[in-house]
Amino acid sequence: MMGDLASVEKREAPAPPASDTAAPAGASAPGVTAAARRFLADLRVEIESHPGVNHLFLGRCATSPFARQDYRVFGENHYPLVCVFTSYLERLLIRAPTSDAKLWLAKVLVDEYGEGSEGEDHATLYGHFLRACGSSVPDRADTVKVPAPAFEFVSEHRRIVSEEPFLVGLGAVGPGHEWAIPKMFDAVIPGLRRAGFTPEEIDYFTLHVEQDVDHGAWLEEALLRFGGTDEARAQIRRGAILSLEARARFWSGVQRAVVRWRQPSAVRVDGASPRTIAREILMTAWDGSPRLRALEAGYDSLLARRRPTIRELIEQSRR
Amino acid sequence: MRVLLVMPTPFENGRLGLENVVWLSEPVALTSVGSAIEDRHEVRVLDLRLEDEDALVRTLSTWKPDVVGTTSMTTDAYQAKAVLRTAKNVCPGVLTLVGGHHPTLCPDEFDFDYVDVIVQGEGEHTLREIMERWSRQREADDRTFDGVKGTRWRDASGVRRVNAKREQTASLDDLPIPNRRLIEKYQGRYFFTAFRPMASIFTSRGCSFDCNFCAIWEFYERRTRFLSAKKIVDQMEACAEPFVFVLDDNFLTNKRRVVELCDEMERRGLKKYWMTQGRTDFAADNPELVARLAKNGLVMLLSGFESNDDDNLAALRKKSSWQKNLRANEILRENGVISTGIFMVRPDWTKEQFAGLYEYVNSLDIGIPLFTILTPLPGTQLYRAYKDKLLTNDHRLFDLLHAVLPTRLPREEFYAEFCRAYDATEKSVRNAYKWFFKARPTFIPKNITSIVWFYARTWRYQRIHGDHRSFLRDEEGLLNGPGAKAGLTWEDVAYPKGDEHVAARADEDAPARAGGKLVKLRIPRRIWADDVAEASAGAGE
Repeated sequence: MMGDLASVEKREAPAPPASDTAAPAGASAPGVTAAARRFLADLRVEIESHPGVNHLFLGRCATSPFARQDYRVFGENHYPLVCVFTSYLERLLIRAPTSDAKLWLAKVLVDEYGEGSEGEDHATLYGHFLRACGSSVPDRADTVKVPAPAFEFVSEHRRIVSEEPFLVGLGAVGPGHEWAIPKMFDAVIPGLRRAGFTPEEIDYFTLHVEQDVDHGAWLEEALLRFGGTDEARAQIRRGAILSLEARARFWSGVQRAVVRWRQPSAVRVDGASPRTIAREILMTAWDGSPRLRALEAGYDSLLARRRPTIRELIEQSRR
Repeated sequence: MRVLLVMPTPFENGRLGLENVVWLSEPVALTSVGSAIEDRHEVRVLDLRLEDEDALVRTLSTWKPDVVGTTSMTTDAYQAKAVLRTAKNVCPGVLTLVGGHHPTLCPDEFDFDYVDVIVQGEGEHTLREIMERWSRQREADDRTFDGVKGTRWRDASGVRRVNAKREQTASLDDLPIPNRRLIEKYQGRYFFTAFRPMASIFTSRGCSFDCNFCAIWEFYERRTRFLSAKKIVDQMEACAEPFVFVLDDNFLTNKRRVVELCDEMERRGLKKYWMTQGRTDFAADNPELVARLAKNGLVMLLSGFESNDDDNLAALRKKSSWQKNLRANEILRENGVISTGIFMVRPDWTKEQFAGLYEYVNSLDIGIPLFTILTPLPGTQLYRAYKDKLLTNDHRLFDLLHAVLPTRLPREEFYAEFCRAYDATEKSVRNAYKWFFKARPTFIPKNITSIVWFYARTWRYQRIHGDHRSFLRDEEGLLNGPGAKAGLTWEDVAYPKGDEHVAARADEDAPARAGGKLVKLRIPRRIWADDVAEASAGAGE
């Protein structure tokens, strides 16, 4: 890694990026790379200590003996993210302002399409894991609706890679993913092993720890070239943090789902804000009324109906 | 240095469990150890039971503590580990510590690289010494703690080193009073049933009985130490809350100290309602003391009634009887003290035995009956007797609400019987409230909002708890896992035969034999985990 950084430092700075980026007029000036390196080091620390990467649910995966059934719920929620990840890269590839950026994105895409996993793309690999959990979701992608936490995560990332400046998108799918995933999966893998999955069944996860370390190194190289100005660095950071905030919400949603499959009518938990007596009574009255409960269930199913199926989500992503 | 003390959640939020539904007490273990070091260090307590999921990581990344400590009972062992693992991830230079009941009795379970020090036994003096050492050694990242009594630590090569045991503090008065300001932001949110807002204090540590399902006496080596009456009333007076929960393992154990406490309360005119835990035999044998305690604010007594059957009580080494339970309950009722009775059903029970227990509860008029399942908790004699017959080693299921031993009835039927408990004993609760209203006519109107709050909350929870499928779903995929023998049935387990009462009598009739030999065998030199094999062999169980 240090060798890579050193060699980058010796190279010339990249050409100025396209107009939707804030990068780097004068990026070749001495000192810019050092500032970029400092920025990257700080950004890595910030990412690796972010709640999205260190969500307590992940810690629980590492320490609690969750069963295969729990990991089925986990996997079914996570699967849509895996299915559409390449679409973020493809969108960015089209928008990439320089050939360096295109090169980095292309390298990662090649891996995501199946290089290093005997030609099986990551969604296919994840499908093996899901089947090992006892889930048939990969075979029913035409009919299964995308779970709410996954839909929110994907929508936010689509927005980031389409509507935000290129460097914000790069920050989200670059450091926001590549630096985050090995650390997150480091927590998940011991839990999967404890639950009795074979190494082949959890290939997706182990491969990502190894592969994303490579991706992270390539990424670092790309970011050093792009993080030439304060504004560019701010955009990269913003993208990473937006992605991780979405990630933290996603893990909270997965945790809720893992608890709810065992306890569908679980007590509504308090969290940080204490509930007033009036609210407590209102909630009880609501839960006690079959009509109001039916109304709530109807509203939930209406929301679910508005979400696409996994197949539709994949197709939307290709457009 | 900045020290973050974290109270873990017992489970993932929303799982089956009575904590945060029936009660939520202050993390006194953390405020106690925090008070021991706050004169030299900046201490914060984070109660994750009352926080959002991301509170820990946000606190770690913004406050950047130098030390993170947590505590653990059996059921929250995984959560405590998750806390320390997360702490190491977010703040790699941090010193991580774990203490409490489970790490003391089962330290090997915490032998991970993200746990720097395991504190065994009382933590106040140990933490102080650890902090002194870490203040000196932190610069050099030297994590050796040799010589700090009551600790296990990892040396640079990852080998866990065990230091000598720390002797218990002779007098609880010598320990600093837990600083409740450390949990100021949560005040008003702790409760026991409808008693809220509630403060929590302790006035003694340990229990001198040796029930085989409980490890308190092993943790404290069968010693009970008391806080002086003056210190107790000082603490109670300092609480702004109208209710105080005295968290003692067994408050009713020493007549003289109870009299002294009543004297002190009367002398100072204490006006607080308070609740505590104590044995029914003490209440049954000392009606005049119960009356005095009630006059001085005791409104609820939580007791382990355990069973309606003397053989079962004898099998648990409870050293009490169903008649004592009955008498104690009458005395409490007459004095306007709500009785919270804990009952323990056995996995080998038949439907008739469940019905018998519910009938017994209804005959008692217990205000708050709580039903649990006999569970061999790690560290107890029962665990050592039954550890090879467990269906699971998943500590989340050791919450006294799941049968970790094989049941005689099919599990579905067993849980169906278990979860009808609250409906089946409604009569007892109704009658108890009538008695309570008679004895304390102003209490219910004055606290009506809290009562409504509690019933609203428990009513919703009862939808889960009253459905046996909740229990079955909770254990799906978690039975017969790693470490458990497959295919065990209830017949493989040597459940008590039903003649234990007679056998216990025979023991009582031979005091020299019981008092001499058995006690000596059951209290080994050092009881904690590294001596378990020795203790187990010595006890002959």
